[in-house]
Amino acid sequence: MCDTRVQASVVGLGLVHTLGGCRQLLTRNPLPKSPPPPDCSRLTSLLSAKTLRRIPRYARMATLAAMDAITQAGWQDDLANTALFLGTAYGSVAMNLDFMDSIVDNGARLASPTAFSHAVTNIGAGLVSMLLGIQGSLITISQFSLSFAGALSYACSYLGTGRGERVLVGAVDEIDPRFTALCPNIQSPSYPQSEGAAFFCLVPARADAPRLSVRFDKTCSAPLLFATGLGMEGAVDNAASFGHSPVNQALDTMLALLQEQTAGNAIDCIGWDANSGRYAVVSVERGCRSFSSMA
Amino acid sequence: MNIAVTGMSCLCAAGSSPSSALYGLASVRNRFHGTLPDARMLPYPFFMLPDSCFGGRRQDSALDTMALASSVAKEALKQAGMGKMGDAAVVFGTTAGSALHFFTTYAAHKKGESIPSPNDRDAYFVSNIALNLDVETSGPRLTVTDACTSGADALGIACDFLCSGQGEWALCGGADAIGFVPHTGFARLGIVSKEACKPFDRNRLGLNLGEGAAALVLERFEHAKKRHAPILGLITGFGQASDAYHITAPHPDGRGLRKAVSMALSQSGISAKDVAFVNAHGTATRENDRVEGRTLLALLPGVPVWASKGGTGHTLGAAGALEAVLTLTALQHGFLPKTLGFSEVDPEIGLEPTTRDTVITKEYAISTSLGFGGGNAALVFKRTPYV
Repeated sequence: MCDTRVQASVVGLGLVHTLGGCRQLLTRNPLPKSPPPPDCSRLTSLLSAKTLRRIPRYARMATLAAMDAITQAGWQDDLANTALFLGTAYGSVAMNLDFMDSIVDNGARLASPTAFSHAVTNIGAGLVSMLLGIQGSLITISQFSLSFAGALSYACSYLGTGRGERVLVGAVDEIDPRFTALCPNIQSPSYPQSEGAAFFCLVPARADAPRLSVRFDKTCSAPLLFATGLGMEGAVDNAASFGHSPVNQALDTMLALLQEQTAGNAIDCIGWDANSGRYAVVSVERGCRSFSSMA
Repeated sequence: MNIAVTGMSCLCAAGSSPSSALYGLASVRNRFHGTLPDARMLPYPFFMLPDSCFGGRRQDSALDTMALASSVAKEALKQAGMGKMGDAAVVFGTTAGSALHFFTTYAAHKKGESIPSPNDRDAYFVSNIALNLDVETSGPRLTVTDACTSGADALGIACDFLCSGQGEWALCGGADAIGFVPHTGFARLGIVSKEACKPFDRNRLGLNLGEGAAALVLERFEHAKKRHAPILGLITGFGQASDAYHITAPHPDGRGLRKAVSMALSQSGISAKDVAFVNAHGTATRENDRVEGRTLLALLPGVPVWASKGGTGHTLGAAGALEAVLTLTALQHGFLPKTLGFSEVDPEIGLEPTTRDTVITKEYAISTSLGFGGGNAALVFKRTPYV
């Protein structure tokens, strides 16, 4: 078993998702069969129309969730040395397909360069850093449902080495009907597809704040297990309220941080990649601080 | 930081091993190989690998990238004498290997035609390098998708895993095979040259894409010494920083690059006077070379600059790892090749990269990478006497 034992503490959360924000995450209401897309309208009051003109929806969700987390952590005045690590299963799907559409429709000689430049897998991290002025390390991890676990594992190591004091780590993925039609395997037969972005402000592990760590197998030791979408016996499955999305492990992690529980209890949040059969477990250990009052 | 390199391998148009690639870069010859493998591609040449690198037959960019990664990983593990992975981390950078570039399937689907089988869509889902590389480990598996800094970032992340106590060693690198979609995208951005690229040259016309892969086995120094492993060199510093400026253009003052290089030098405990050379990102685009050249001149005055993409092409997600292998090999051999393609100093930059094969004696060298999205990475390498 590999347990990094390198922990990081959480000091801020932000969520923009089909189900809503942090408050709605806690209520765990079932999603409707065809839920509306996440509401990013608040961004227009935070960033200028000119700034937002060419920002795709994928990056809007990420930016808004990141801003919420940063605000909760009180980091908004000093982002020059903050690192940003993002996990994304598929990247900016809509822009990728827009680019391929432009080739199919117009031929390679007239394909859209703008769509291509916004289709690179790290466009989310790039745009968030640009819009918010984040000038620390910038890393994107892309490995399907284990993307968040990958980004978080590096965030813990990064803080553990003393390389930096602040990491904004998150997950973002979007729905595009063209992608769903082409890749029906990304859907669940039981739950609606969902999309969104979840961000966590991390600092080096400390006793007075909840702590996260990652290990890359399915060995669990916590008394409570979250395994959304996995149908795992003995584990809580939040798919009815989360829907089906590669960001679900990040949502499980956020819910574990938010919900009322006895301080000190741990929750293991299990992620699984269906294509490779690999597992990753995010361990959430509660310190004396609770996020539930901040939701 | 003292991370030992105990295994390394590479595949690129300049050669299929670290030494052959380094000396391949020093020889003047026809720098492109073969013809474009896909009739749909726009007529921009690139540095291709022979079909033998893909098991004799090309498939699609995801499977081809996976084949390259598997090949270099196997070679590096063999050189390091590593068998069972235990809890070693696997960290690989890529662009094509992680992107939704299954154009054949998508075009057929969009036109209502039947989807061929096997197809590039299905290949994409089973070709995530870190998850699907055929090695057994319970350690972290990370596929890094930071555009052109992916390979360098993969090495830096692996170093940080080791420094934070995550395992005794790690397998890392980068790989990319070129497919129709990224080839078209770069061509349409107007930054690809129809001629052989000219890094830092006054008359540079843009980059050439290339295919390549590199893998390194990194190990905690004490662990490598304890098992009497041959230490090929050390990684002593890593820096990574965002420009927070533009998606495809570097910050005009090289803000992120300055920070990344400074971090890497600081972590190594050295200054410019200790550095034998810089293996620059040097893509031969107008913007990259102007910003990078000026920044390196300001930060590292007097330090020779070498750019290897004139003989390898820009191998995208593999570039940082490939250039790490070339940098360390040059240090090992005490030999720095000329910069292929360069002939005339650009007065806007004022930088003259290496113009002849040169003997080097200092112990340290730096490799820099810049990427779309605004990322900048720098790695510092140190020669060791154990070769």
